[in-house]
Amino acid sequence: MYNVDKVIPGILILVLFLTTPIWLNLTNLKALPPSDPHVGQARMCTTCHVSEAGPDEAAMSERCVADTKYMRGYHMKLLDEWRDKKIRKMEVNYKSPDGKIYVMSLQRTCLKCHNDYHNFCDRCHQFTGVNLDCFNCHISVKEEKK
Amino acid sequence: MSMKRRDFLKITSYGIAGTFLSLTGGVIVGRGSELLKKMDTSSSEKVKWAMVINTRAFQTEEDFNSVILACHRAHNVPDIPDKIREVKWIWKDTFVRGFPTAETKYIGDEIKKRPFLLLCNHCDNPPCVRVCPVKATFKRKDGIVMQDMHRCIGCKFCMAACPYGARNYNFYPPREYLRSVNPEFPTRSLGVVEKCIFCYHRLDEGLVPYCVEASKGKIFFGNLLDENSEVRKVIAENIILVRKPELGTNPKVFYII
Repeated sequence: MYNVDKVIPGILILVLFLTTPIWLNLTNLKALPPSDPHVGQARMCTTCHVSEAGPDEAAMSERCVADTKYMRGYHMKLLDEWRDKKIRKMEVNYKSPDGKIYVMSLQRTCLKCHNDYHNFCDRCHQFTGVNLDCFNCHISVKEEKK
Repeated sequence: MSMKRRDFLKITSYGIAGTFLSLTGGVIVGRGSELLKKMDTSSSEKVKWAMVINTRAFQTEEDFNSVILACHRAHNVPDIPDKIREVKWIWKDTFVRGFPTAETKYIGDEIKKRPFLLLCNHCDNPPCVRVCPVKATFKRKDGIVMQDMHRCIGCKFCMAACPYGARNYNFYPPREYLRSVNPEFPTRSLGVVEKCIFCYHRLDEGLVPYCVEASKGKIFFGNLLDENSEVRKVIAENIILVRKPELGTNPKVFYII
């Protein structure tokens, strides 16, 4: 091999350069969605997210159809189930694990509390690169007021 | 490779014969006959929703508009000025256009000019359900022909299949043409087909459809399989028309003449 003294350091520098994001993120960045401007405000469900203020589990589980942890991970599964039951299986109500009965409806149940589309839904979905088409048809309350 | 003229002809004729066999055989025993089967609900079902419209009671413009507006407002139906591409769930039209095959030469002027309320007939044998390639439109157990907007791909097959013009495609962004918004019900998106859904969401909760409520007794609604129901009585006591009965779709919207 010719020019070993130049080639090897060159390769090392290249590898270091290509992996800069890893080195930088090791110390500086946290994998969190941007923090919620409404933390602490009433009726604003900030709690589904791991924001810097931390989730408010108590306030959340009081109202929602399932606990925060489940909803954070599997809300899309639950919504899909609701859609199929309501439209195709002629069911109206959902019985939550703790025995409460809810009307299966995005707009009449979920969005009554989770009424801030941009801060509640979009913040996380943008961060995770998820493209929704729910709100092409379904109306969130804030949007309606515009 | 060399081949005798005789062998070549043999192989070719086998091929042609095989093609014909598979073509005709496929249509006769295969998918074709399955598709042509009627889609009647099984007799074990106990509910079959039907509507009876008393056309004699609908007199003034107000009678029609109150019903149409009640439906369109509640379901966020856009009000599109373009008549060819408009979206409607329930609408008003003449006898001749609504019942083209029931028209005879010497029919009375009053009937000819009488406006009729038209909507999806929720056929017992719905052609739209048969053609939908994604099962976005389907028949529920209680006979309602449902439209699942989540699944609709906007192919418009159902519009071509429906003999009643009850289906409309969203050529325009529907949200921009809403007069008022009902936050309890979704809108539709660009590029899906929509139609009357017999207010299935209200029936499931024990309420009557919006149009029935707004008509103040001019539209009857009930279970066609229940002998004592109001609709059965009204149908038995009056002269009833359905739209294009000769097509065999078995409409469940009846008109008192």
